[in-house]
Amino acid sequence: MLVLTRKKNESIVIGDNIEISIIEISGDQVRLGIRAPKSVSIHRKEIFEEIQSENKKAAEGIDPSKLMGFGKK
Amino acid sequence: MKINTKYFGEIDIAEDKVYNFPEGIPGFEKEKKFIIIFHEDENSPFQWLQSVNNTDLAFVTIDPYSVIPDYEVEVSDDEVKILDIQDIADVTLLSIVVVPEDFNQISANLLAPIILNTKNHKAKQVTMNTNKYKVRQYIIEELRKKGGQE
Repeated sequence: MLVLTRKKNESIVIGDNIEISIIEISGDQVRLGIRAPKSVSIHRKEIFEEIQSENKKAAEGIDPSKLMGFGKK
Repeated sequence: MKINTKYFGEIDIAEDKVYNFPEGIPGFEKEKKFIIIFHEDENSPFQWLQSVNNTDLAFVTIDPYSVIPDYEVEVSDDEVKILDIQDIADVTLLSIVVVPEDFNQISANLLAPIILNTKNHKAKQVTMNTNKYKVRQYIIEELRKKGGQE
């Protein structure tokens, strides 16, 4: 992993069209501004990982008969 | 075309029923093609999302509107473009369901619904930027209102 030190209001550029700026630093929190093409999806890593692991859990085998009978009302 | 399914044996399905997930599904990025299998009980809120190429991969899904009638999805221009959505009437939503050992803990991913374009059959699991919904939203109360096993 490349590690760079940046100050407030400085930024880094990735490739031709992604820019990440340091907007604000306060204690152990950093506010980032991200400029990227719309085709690039940006998410907090923990949410993406949560969805991945939830999908894996969902793919484990289940007994289809457990799902019988709903909607009969 | 014939597809071997995880739960329903071999089924025959028209090729144009296959949904293409250009990016796969998070955690299963290599799986690009899925079919939807409707529950044999037509009133059931559940559907199955079965991988075309991987028999062992199938998800239980639910129509999020059947859980939260006023469910709202915010789709970015980006997703609209990827899925080439021309008309909102062409959009179908599915939430992936986790059915744990304890059925009372059944949950649906309402933060990241699967958006399907029924016209061109492109689909994608989209993560919303909201804290209104959860990845693991428990739905047993809502299901009970729809009847089902005691």
